[in-house]
Amino acid sequence: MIKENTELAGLTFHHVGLLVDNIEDSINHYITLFGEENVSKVFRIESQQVKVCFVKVGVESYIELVEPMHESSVVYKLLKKRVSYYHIGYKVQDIIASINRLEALNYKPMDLFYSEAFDGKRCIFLFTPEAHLIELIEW
Amino acid sequence: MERNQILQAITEIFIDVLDDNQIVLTETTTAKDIEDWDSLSHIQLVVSIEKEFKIQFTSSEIQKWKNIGEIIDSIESKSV
Repeated sequence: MIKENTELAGLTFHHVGLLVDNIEDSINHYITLFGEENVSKVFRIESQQVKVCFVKVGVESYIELVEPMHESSVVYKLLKKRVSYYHIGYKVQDIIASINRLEALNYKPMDLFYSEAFDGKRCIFLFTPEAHLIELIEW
Repeated sequence: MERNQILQAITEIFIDVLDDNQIVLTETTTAKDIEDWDSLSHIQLVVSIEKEFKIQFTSSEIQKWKNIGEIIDSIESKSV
């Protein structure tokens, strides 16, 4: 049994990423479930060409709604394939140390980027050896 | 395994991962030649190739590849 809020290998769960066609429509739906006070504003993450919004669903637990802004966004093709839940986001204290540790476990990193959704903090997507996508957010 | 056998195996992986049975690869094929071969699918392809050939690539290796021929070179260098 994992204790709530326990940090595992330096990774602290933050959110699950969910692709949506229209973020405003999704926000309206989630407001009915969790209330307006638990839904963030919409952020534009230019480097990823996506709009995102966070829905608080528990203690330090969020759904990240993600809408591609253009067909050039890498997640646009996932959405067209009807992929919905597609990544898990973790908070880490030292993103470079975490990347190094995960690379030693054969995780494959993509490019570091600075996220407007996290006050410009450094983030990165990595694939696990099983091709599952995770995101690290330096906290 | 011969290079043409590796090429055939890689082609099948591309068809499966990119869900496009029209894909035909040659040693000079690059990401520009395959519409859905982007930065995200590239890593998915790499992971599938690693599983198929039971090898592992480093991050620096997979960023250096310029075409399919160089992927085959890497596979050959790691295969027993």
